[in-house]
Amino acid sequence: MNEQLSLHRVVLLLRAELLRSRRTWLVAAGTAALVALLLSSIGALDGEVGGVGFYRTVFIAGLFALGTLATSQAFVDLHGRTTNTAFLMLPASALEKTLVRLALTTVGLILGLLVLTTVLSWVIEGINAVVFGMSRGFFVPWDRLAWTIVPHYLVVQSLFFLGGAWFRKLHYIKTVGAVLLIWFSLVTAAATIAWIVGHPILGGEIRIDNFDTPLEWLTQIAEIVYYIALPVFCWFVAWLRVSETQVSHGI
Amino acid sequence: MVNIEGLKFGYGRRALFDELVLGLQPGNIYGLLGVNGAGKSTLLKLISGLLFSATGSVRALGQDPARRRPSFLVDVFVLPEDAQAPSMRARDYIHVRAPFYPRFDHGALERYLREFEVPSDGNLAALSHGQQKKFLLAFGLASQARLVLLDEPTNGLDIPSKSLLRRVITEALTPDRLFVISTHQVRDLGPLMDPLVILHQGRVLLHSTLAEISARLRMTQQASPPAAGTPGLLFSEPAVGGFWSVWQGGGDGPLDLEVLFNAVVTKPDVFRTTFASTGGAA
Repeated sequence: MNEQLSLHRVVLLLRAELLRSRRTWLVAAGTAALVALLLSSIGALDGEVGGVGFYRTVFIAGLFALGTLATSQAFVDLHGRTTNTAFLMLPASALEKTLVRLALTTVGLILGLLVLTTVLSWVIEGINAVVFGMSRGFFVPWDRLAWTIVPHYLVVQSLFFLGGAWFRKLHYIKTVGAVLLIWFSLVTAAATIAWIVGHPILGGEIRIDNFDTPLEWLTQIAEIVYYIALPVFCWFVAWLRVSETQVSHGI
Repeated sequence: MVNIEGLKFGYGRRALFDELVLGLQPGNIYGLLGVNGAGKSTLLKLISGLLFSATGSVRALGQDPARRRPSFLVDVFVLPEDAQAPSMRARDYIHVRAPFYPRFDHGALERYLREFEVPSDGNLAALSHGQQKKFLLAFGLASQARLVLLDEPTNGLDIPSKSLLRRVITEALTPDRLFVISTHQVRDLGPLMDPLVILHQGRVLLHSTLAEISARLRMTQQASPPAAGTPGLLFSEPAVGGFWSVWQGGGDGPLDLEVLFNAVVTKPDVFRTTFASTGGAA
């Protein structure tokens, strides 16, 4: 028996997880669709809202709003006093349990929203064509601009994923709080360093145009950290957290 | 099947177990007894890998439970005291969870559910606490897990269900299977549990079969209390309609587990000496 990763168990976990959370997903998708429909109807009356841009906004808003909410709740049964035993004792590895929830809140959510937004655009534009006699264009799942946002979502998702695994309660609020705290600390530290380096007392004076090459290099490093290292780190730590969680954490 | 050596564990600064040593063999239904806070539930969690020990060794089914490997988890079933089924249809629960257990016996599950009179359809969350517990127990037994850990299994069960539970567990016992039942309800499960393990003040105070206990102790019930200092008298306590007394030396009389428990935790040193020769007490 492969103790860490078995495709069979991953499929079983996916099936179990989808069945467990299907009602929540349906309600969330229905709510998102209803809001989009209402906004579109109001906009159609004004003649302002509609078209690909509107659906792209729906997709992006849905991705960040639903995605962060769903991700922050990904491990709610790991920390529940009456649910954690069932989660921890289910015969699958911590890696598999983590991967399945990661897949659902990344690939699953992105694909689901793409399909939902596409279908929604067909329905709304169909209604617009029938009622108002005009159609402003459909959303397509391969919309380039929509996809450029996806990497940013993955970064944000990773933070909420770690928050969901790490915090026992109030996962969303605590994650936002922790991110703001870290961001504020980093900005303060950077500002302090910049002030010290550029202060005349040290004989220094920062001139951005003197640092073209190093800044380009730093930008590349920052991009790698932002797009790759940060999400991978958060997902990895979330897995460790799931591995080491004990029931006393939930009591 | 379960081996614990030198286990130290506590919550915060409060030490719960101090150099705990315990070995449990398959083919038995162990009764795990102790006062509130003695660590019965904690011990079950340590054996199942739901809690980790920092010092000492816990081995179950030849593995370190804290690793929670799938090959270990398929062979362990835990029924917590506050067991709660998820909000989903019973049929769906079985459909998604049973495939994780390679030896899952669907026929046995149907039989257990029928005996417990638990509906195999409908939402589990709509069932009463007792019904949910019976459903989860039926599922756990049908999983064919070799290590079955039950924490206060009779809490929330009605009177017919308690006797049914005793019968179902007895029938489910096989030579390669081990049940550990933690309970305060010794009158509910007394006929089922043998051997007994009594936890007290961080240690195993008694670990003996009922036969070993009967060979060393006898109990009497009488209208008036025996005089203090009567030779062989180990313990006496008032009971309904008279007094229960525990005497040194075996006999054929009844064994009242509640009286035995009270006697052992009230006079731990006396009973440690009584059972020391067999290694039955730690």
